[in-house]
Amino acid sequence: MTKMPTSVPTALGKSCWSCQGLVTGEPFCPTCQVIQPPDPALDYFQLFGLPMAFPLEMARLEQLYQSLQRHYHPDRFAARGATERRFSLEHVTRLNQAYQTLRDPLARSNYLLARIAGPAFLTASQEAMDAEFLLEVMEDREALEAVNLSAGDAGPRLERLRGQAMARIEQEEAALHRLFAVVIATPAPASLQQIAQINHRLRYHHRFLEAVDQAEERMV
Amino acid sequence: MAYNEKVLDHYENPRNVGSLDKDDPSVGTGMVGAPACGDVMKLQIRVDDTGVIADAKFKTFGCGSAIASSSLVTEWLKGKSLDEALSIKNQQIADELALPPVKIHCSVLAEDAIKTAVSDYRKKQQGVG
Repeated sequence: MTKMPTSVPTALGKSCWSCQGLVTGEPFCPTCQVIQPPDPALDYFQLFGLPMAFPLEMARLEQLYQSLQRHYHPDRFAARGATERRFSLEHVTRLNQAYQTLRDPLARSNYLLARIAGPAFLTASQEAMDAEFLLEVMEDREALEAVNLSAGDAGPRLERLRGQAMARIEQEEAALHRLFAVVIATPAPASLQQIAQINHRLRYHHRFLEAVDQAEERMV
Repeated sequence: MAYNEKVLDHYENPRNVGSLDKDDPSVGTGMVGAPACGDVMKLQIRVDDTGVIADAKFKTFGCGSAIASSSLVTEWLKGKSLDEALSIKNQQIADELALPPVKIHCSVLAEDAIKTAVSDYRKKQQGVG
């Protein structure tokens, strides 16, 4: 077992674990350039140096991810001590989590909502779904079930159902753009509630798309 | 995750799958959803003149535990009065199916579906009477 260095900084980091020099949140010590543990106070947006917002340019995120990935990659620390290798791995793990969360609009929306409203709000907003919406979900599911997968028109029918769901997702995401723009400035409970509802509906739309995918696989 | 035998049985041979006419005044419909997992459950009861549940049907799109929970309650509901139906608690469903803690919400969903179906039926009856 490798012994933990005794001077590993907590939370924001005061002194470098290696040279005891001052570290104020930098991933590498400004004095000795040695890798520091990830700062748990940084959120996923800060990790990439991005503003906390719902709209996100995928190409830009991808680019930042690649470059940070290279920066922290364990290969670069292969010849270093166990502590440095571990910190590199921790950085990469956190980076991957952040990337997976931010690249997916629904995961991003849930993450943002939790950051703004707090995790307690998310738990409290697990209330019943609107009956009218559930009826719509049920009808879509039944329409999907009714597609005869061995019939010649199965492909186009599945595509139509997929298109319908994608259009709904697009609509919900457009609403998220508008709501988050407001809520990040002023977190009004009613708007937060609306976002939670949209996230719930998006979960259903994505589940439906998965079911369409599965039906398509059974077709061929 | 490994499913319990009873869950598998209900999942593979679900009882009482289908629909009743939701516009029939003797039919109560309960439509509920679990937003965290994107499950939707429809439970319907037909109540006879003596106030006993004569038939129960369900349709659930969701995980195995949600399907098993709703399948099980349709079996339990038949022959019960509305008050007896309302006394079914999610814990009984979870115990019967040996649901693990992460799947308890599926049994909660089934209990909610019963309540919603009964209240839908009662509302319709008031409208009629």
